[in-house]
Order: sequence, then C-alpha cells, then structure tokens
Amino acid sequence: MALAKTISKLPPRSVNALLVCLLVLGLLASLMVGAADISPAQLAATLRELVISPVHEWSVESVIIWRLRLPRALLAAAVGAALATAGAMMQGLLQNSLADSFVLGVSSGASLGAALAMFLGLRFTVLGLGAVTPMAFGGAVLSMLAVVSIARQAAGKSTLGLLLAGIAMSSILSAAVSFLVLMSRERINPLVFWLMGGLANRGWNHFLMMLPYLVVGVSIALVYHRYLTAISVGDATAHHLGVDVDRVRLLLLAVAALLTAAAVAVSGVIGFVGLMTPHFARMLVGHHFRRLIPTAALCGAVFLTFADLLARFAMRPQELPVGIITALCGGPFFLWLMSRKRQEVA
Amino acid sequence: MPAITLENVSFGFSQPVLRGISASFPRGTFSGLLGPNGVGKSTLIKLISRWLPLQGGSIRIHGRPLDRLSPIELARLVAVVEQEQSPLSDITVREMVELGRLPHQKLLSPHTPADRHAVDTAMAQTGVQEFANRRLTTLSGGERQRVRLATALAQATDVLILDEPTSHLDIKFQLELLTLLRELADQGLSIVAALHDVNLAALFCDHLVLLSGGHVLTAGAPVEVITRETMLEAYQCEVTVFSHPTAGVPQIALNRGG
Repeated sequence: MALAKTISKLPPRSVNALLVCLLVLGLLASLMVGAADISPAQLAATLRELVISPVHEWSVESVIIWRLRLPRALLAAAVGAALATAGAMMQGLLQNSLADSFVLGVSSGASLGAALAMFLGLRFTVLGLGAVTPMAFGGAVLSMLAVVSIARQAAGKSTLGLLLAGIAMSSILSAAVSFLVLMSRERINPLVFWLMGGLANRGWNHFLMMLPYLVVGVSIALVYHRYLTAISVGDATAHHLGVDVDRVRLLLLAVAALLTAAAVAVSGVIGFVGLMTPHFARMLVGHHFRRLIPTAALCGAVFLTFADLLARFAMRPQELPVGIITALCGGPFFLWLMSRKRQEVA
Repeated sequence: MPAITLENVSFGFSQPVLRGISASFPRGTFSGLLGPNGVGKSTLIKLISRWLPLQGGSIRIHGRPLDRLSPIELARLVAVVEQEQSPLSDITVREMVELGRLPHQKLLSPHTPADRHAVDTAMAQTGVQEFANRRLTTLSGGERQRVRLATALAQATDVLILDEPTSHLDIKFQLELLTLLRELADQGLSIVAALHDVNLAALFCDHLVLLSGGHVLTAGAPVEVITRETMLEAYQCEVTVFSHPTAGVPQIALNRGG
C-alpha cells in the first residue's frame, strides 16, 4: 500500500515505464519457466538463435520458446490488456465501479458458444482456430448485441437498464450452459476447464486472432478519452458539453464488448482482471481516461502475465487454470484494497 | 434578437407542468427565472438545454431553432450549470474544468494555448485554482458548484444557464457568485438563472420572469415584477415590498403568519 502510494505520486509516464519494465520481466520469466526450465544464459543464446539462425537449425529450446512459450506469454499480456481496458471503459460508461468487462453478458454468451461447439462436437476451423474459439466469439458478440438492443428500447437514459439487461442475459445463458453440462458429462468435461479460463495449448493463431481487436479497441478508447471522461462524470454533464450521450455510450460499449469477446474467445472466462485492474490503475494515475486507458491496459497485461506464470509454476508439473489464480490472488487483494480508505478505491 | 426565445412551450409527464410558456431572455443581460417550488423552473432549463425533449411550442437560441442545432453546436452556444449533484467520477478540478473545452476540440487534438487560456481564466474567475489538483469527491458542495461554473465558463459560450446556482453556498459565496455573474453579463454574456431567493434576484438581475401555475405570470424589470400582488399570486404569501436602502431595487419582507 505504501508502495502504491509512492508510485501514485510519480508522473503517469514514470508509472507506465515502471509497468512496462514489470511486463518485460514477466514475459522473460514466462519464457524460462515450464516443463523444461531454461536458464537466463540459455534464454539469451536462444533469443539470439531465433533472430539469426534459419528455422531448421534451431535447438529444442528455440522451438519450445517460439512455438509454445512466446505466443502464450504474449497472449496472456494481450488478454489481460484487453480485459482491463474493457473493464475501465465499462465502469466509466455505466458509471458503476462494480461493472466489469463481462457485465453485458459477454462471458456467458461466449460460454454458451463454446459449450455448443463441444457438445455438438463441431470440427470446423476458422483462420486455423478450432471450432471452440470462433463459436465462443460469435456467442459473445450475439449476447452483447442482444443486451444492447434490449436496453436501447427499454430506457434511453438509464445505465441501470443496461446493467440489469446484462445480468438477466447472463443468467439465461448460464442456465443454458448448465443444461448442456448436464446433458453430456463426458464430452462437456473440457468445458469445465474452459469456464475456469486458461491459456494452455494456445499458439500464434490465437494471439494473432485477438491482436487486431486489442489494437483497434484500445485506439478507439484513447481517441474518445474525453468523451469517456465526460460520461463517467455524469450523463447530464456530458450532454451539456455536446456529447450525444446515448449514441456515444452505445458505440463505446460495443467496442468494450468486442475487446472482451476477443479475449474470452481465446482464453475462456478469466475473471477479476476486468473488475480489479481498472481500480488499481485509477489509484496510480487518477480517473481521467487519457491516462487511465494506457495504465489500465498495462496493469492488466502485467497482472495476467504473472498470474499465468503462477498458474504454470504453482503445482508443477500440473497446470492450474489461470482463472483460479486471478480469483484466488485478485479476490483477497481486492478486498484488502476495499478495506483501505474507501475513496481511494471507489 | 434575444438570446433565448420561448414560444408557447409546454411540457408534462403525466400532468402538464408547463402550459404554454412564452418569454424571451434578452442578450447581454442577467435574467432571473422565479417561481414557487415545483412550478417548472428546472424543467424549463432542461428543455432549453435539450436534456428533456420539447413536447409543444418552440425554443430559439440566437434566433436558431433548438431542434436544428447539433449537440456540438448547442454546446458551443449554451453552457449549463446544473443543480449540485455528486459527481460519479473522481477526476481533479483542473481536469473537470478542461472538459469545458470539449465542444471546441477535435477528437485527437491536444489542448491548444487557447484552451489553456480559457481554462486558466475560468479557474481564476471562480477562485478554484487554489484547489486545482484536488479530486472532485474531496470538495464541499459549494466548492463543487464553483467548479461547475468554471467548467461552464471554460466552454466560452454566449449563453450561460444556471439552475439554482446559489443553493449550496453561504452568503459570502452567494454574493461572490452573483457579483461575478453580474460582471459577466456586463461584459456581454447572456445569463439565465433559476433562483429561489427573490431578494437576491431583484438585487442582481436586469430582467425577471415569474412563473406561476405553469404560465408566465409576469416578466420585466425587477420593479415591475416584484409587487405585493404578484408575490401573493405566485407564492401565495403575504409580503411587504420595500425599496433596497442602497440599491433602490424592490425587496420583500415576509410577514409572520403569511
């Protein structure tokens, strides 16, 4: 806490520089830790080999790092950044600090998509990705569209309507997922793991699938940082400043939901990142979205990188679903934050 | 051409609140909107700022129909200081005042020297620069009210609308705020403020519009609007009207037992 306070007195650029350093450290550690440990000296040699040697001359270590560890490490960072950015946007747009990136029913939509893919034993591939990922993405987008269109008809000027519609949609879809789990115990077993969130066996395809969403989503959030800030202060305030509140909110909610959908599709349901990291970022750099978006994205990337590291390291050789780590570490940390001075968190 | 023209404006939820309001607020004057609680002063302000949709009649700002203005055009013409309510985000005072520049900024452009100048001037005028780096939730209601005014001034509009701007202020700040508004009106800003304090309104405003029962009861200079009869009709309250000892404007004294 004292550390967080000291850091929060630094200018935002230094905070971000510090986070980038942490992220690089985390990524390097991710490359070294695994079934076969790679020492720092080996890592340096391997990275050199990856750059200068042709593929067929690569050592086993190089192949492990290039094929398995590097895409997984980058994917963890990207998913963390996407969930945290989307969470920060959702909290501002819905003016509710308990909102997270899953609030519009995105995660349960994705779960149902994934469950259907596994239940029906779908075998198709899209862009080199197995059926589960595109089905999860489709489910997430469909449920988000449904929530937004229901809320748009219900109450134009109430964020509560959107929240309630999201909660209702989540309940319906979760019930459908539970039904599928009951209907088929053997085939649906992988789904239980998927629901806990995990980054095992993910490759470059997954990373490249979600990267465009991350880049475009974060860019749009940055471009609209003043609008996000104005809406987060209050609807009437934003309106008087010339913001077409209903339209801008719908547009940015859709962007946040797409960011989440892309993340969930490749990693399953990883809780707590979208809820917690924006709070932490606000403690570091304040509530204005010009600074909040980059710092939240970096916090999310750092958090999930280290969480994934722990997921692989904690019970070696067995691997834990990373969602368990984020909740087990994130939950108590969040409670501790909340028990501190309330204003710093809210 | 008046700053704001209302023609036959009506509005109601289940029951009519405003029934055919016609009035005009002259340019470069400080106009006060008076009337008893619940008469629709705030509703009228929400209609002028297009926060509520117009149900009947028409509103013109500088002669331009309200419904033909884009959100940005409206925000460049009219700034609004709402009634005090707690902010939902905890940005700093300076960040809040900077938001006032939003209607003048392109999406990606950084703050220009003109933006910075407008923000600094607005903060100095309202005396909020001394707590520029504090967060909104750490401020008192009165301090927040001044920050809202600073934000509206940074918006650099021709028209400024305020809903009960003095409600959270002690008499010193009431006086300071109304003196500032008076100066701004003298410099050419058109100001419309809903006020519940009849005496302060008479002391500072050039023009008053008194609402009663969903209609405009009377409008004009304070001396024309504030009489024993109009006060009785609008507020159902027996008052004694006398002349302010130094300013010469009408003032009211309440009598015990109505």
